[in-house]
Amino acid sequence: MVSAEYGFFIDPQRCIGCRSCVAACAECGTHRGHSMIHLDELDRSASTQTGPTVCMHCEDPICAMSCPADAIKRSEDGVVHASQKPRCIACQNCELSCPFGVPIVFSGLEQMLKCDLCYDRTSLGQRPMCATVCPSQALLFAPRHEVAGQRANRPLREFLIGSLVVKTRNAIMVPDPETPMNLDAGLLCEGGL
Amino acid sequence: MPGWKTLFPVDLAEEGRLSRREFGRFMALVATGFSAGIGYLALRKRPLDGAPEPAAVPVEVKVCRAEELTPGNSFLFTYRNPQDRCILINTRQGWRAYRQTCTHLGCAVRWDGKGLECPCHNGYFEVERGFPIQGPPTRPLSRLAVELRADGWLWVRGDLPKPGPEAA
Repeated sequence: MVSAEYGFFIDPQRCIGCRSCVAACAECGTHRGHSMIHLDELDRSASTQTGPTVCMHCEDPICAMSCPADAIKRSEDGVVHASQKPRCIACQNCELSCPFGVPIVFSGLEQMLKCDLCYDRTSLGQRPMCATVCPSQALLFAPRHEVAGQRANRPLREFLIGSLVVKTRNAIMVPDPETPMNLDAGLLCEGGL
Repeated sequence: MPGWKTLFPVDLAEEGRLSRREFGRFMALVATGFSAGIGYLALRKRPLDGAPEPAAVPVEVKVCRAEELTPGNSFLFTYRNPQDRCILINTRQGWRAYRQTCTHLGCAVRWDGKGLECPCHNGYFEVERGFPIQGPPTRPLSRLAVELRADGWLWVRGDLPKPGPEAA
């Protein structure tokens, strides 16, 4: 079981786009050969900024609730696991429903795989693969109280999608965590919502 | 909480959880099923296996006149229905009646003057008790009781019990 004291913190401002996490993720024992991390260039023409996306491990996982095959489960420590192979029907509901765009349905496997916080490692007290290799610690797995005073940015674990509030186990480091981040796709349209 | 959320919980720990009430309900259902089954058997008043068929009630059939069946010859007849083919033999020591159904694969056995042979796989039965003495059959032929009545006719009265292993 992953200790509740340990949190996973994603700080996109510290990301240098080295792709170490992407490579390390593919070495994880639970999904060897498949990387679960999405590393995006945010605005390629104007900036070198990149942002890593790993699963936020929602408290009320939308992927699991949208799963018609009852294949996605959360363990007691709040970790949302990859789909169970005997149940997953590769319908891609989870892919479409996840507000963070995390699950990937692999067409060769006919199964959805997602970040499970390297459960084989974290349940034994080790850090996830990505957090061990990240040179700038943009991906950080550490006790929550240690992070509190160390960074300029502070952890945010509450997001808005329209009127839906999504609370997560993992945190994104932002300058102002008091305001929940609105992830509604409508904001991407011209003129916002 | 909607019903489907309790049936298909997101949490692993909730999966397969059985409440005290659900368990009791299941046990009650099983107990009712068993009682109903036992009750049915009790009302039936006889066990499911080995129950005597209605057809096993002895039926008496007039077969042929005794003087027409000379020693060493056989006479074919049907006993209960046209499919129940039987053979009556005069073996000099007395009369024997058997079903013609071979106990191997059900071909019709025939009298060859000394015993009953099955042409399909060369099975052979001795005529005294119908025991197999050659070939694939392992069980004796089904035997019928024969009686000579005062009017000079031979009657078949019903099935003789199957010989037990000690009879062999």
